[in-house]
Amino acid sequence: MNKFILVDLEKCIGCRTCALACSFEHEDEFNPSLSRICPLWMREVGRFVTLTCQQCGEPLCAEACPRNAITVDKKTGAKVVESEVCIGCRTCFFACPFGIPIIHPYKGFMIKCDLCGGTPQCVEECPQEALSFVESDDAAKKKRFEVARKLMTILEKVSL
Amino acid sequence: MYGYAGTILVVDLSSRKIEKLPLEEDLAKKYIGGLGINTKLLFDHVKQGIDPLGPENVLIFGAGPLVGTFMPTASKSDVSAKSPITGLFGTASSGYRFGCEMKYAGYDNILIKGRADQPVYIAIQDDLVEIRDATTLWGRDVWEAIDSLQDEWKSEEIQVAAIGPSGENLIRYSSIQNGKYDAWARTGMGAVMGSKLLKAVAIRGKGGIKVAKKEDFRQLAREMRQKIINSPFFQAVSKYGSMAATGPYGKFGALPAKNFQTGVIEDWFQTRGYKVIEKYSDQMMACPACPIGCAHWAVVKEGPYAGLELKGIEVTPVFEIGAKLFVHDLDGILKCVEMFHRTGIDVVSGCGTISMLMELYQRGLISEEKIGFPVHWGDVHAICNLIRMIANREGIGDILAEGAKRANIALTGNDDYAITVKGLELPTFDPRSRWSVYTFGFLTSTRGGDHLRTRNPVENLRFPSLPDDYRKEPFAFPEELYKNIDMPDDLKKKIIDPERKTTDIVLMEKWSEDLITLFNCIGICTRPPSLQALGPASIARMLQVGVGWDVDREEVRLAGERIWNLQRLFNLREGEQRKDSIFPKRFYEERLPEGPAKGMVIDQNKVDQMLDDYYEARGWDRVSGVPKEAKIIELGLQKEWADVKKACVK
Repeated sequence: MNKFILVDLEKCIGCRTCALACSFEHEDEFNPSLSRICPLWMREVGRFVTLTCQQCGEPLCAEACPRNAITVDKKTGAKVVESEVCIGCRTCFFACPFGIPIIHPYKGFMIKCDLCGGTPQCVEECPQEALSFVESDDAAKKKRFEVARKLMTILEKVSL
Repeated sequence: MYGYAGTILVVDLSSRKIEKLPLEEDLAKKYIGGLGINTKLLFDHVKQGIDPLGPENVLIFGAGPLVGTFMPTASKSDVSAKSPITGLFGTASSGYRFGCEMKYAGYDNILIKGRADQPVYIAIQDDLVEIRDATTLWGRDVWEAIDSLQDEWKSEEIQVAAIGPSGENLIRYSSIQNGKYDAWARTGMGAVMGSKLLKAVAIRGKGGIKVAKKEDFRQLAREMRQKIINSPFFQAVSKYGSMAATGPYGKFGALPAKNFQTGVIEDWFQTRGYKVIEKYSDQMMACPACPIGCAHWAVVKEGPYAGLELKGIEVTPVFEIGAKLFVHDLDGILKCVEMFHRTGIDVVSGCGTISMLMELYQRGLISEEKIGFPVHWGDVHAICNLIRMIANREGIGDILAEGAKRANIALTGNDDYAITVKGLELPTFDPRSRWSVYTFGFLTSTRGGDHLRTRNPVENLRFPSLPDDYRKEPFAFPEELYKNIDMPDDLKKKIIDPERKTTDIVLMEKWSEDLITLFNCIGICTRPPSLQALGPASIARMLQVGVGWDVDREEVRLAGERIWNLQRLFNLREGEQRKDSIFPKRFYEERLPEGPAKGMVIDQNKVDQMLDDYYEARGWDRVSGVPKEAKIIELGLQKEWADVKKACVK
């Protein structure tokens, strides 16, 4: 299994339900500053861009961690912080190209998306179905279909 | 108490004293939160007859128990004070992120009293509350002030409630802007803020909101979200936002064109109908936790205003600027919206006042000299000049700053062209061509000439509703929808007639007012998909799993009624009388000149009978509209009533 959370930028309306669902699941409270998923308004392109962990194949966060506190959840493939081992040094934050891991302000260890043990709550609650929890090859196939459709329209124009 | 932040923040700008009071459970149970607790605090803190722009007035922000959670649409907050435009109960609601941020910072309500001795702003970072100097912000427009605060805090995540030059200069219908593109707009809350020399409240909260029953809350939020998505209104409103209403009101000939001189605009659909959105936007924008996303990110791509970007294309500015002021194209409308946002002026009252002036000009009742330039209908340049002059009290702007009614009297000695009720400029729809719960509500709303607190939750804009049979508004929804309306069965039978497919306007008026009051207490949105889908039973369940109270539908409904009645008591204490619930002369005397409602006027006798019946339905005296003893006791408002009686006798 190689699943990740795919964001459809065309569908997101910036309602932040994902961020609220995330902190509610992990922290038992609604608190966007403790969310592992982050909707950003990108004024320059007029779109919401939602960032969360890509569940990298070669995770730099895990590689950089001086305590080897980031491990792979065998069930889901999620890269998970072991809170008892983590010392909250933020090295993973610096290593992550997407700026995803943040420090838990009260508990002192790093937090990041753990795919909720296989049922990501952000995906469950997204009212626009802008988030999906997908296998990598399914996502790739879907994207290739979309590109193929665009290609076809171009080719039709050319053949005329 | 789960759901609540648990604290009322009290900031006294005169003494610079900051207090944090625990939110008492008794108060919360009786008044729920948001608008409800604001109402009670305002009633208790404001003495009869005080100057709304003096230090004795208080300004209260309130966010209800569900705000900040993912219960769908729960992001709305209310700001309340005695209104400087009506002299009555003033309040306005707004979505976006400010209310949520209040809760995350730890406050359900923020009560601001006194008056600072120099410009200040209130800075709130969780527990840390400071009154900070704002002399460098004073005089800046709202967008500049927000940019400057974000720079100072080095954060774009802070939420800012700010006034523009309009609020600073005490224009009676100033808004408080909620971020750059949203506002607590009506009843002049921005002027109250300006009178306190308070430029802004900036807030950043990093705390969380806990609920009573985690799993049940999650399930209920899903169920409610699905209910909203399944509403027959959802598709249209989630695609076109509130602009979905531009079609029907155009068709009914119910536009407020040229200060309500006519209801018809020939090229309305092509130029200002909902489909124009597509030219400006392909990005919907939602408030926190909202599945609907009624707002749009609009970009003007060409013409003199090319490069203008803002969140908007709402029906109200399009009706106000596009019809009332007759601005022909959306480019021009958006430019005017930007001016209103930056200066911090309520679009409805602003347009009501400017359209009064334009009509005086049209009729030769005011000279070009007196204004300084011609003010023809639809002239965007002239309108923007007027907005600026109003905000700065320059030239004629100083007179217009007092609102349509006062300005009309100052300019011509009468108020013939001020389309107001209780001094508040009427919004958007002409009751002569659309007689409904919405438009009868212009007379009954506790905040004066306004529609947003009195709306039929099953309003159906597919059918016209002329003032012929005054009591009835067409209903005509499928059987299933009728069955599922969240309303007690006995009441449903009285209010809705499924055979004739009509609703009773008078009884629905009371129902919708109490219902919308509840929505504004817990902080959910009154856009049609949620207004139609949710009711007191849903709200009771939200409070059960959110707060942990054992409340039922009837208790919740009664709370809505109690709060509406307390607003009524506030207004009676200020001297409101039955004779104030009257439309401007135009609607009784001038027949609509064209369109489907050609020749229609409002029959004052019929409306008077409806008011009698409405008062009776409310348990108020049929003639005076004063709540009867039995109603006061039923609602547990004896103490407040005693206070009103004492003030009235004096």
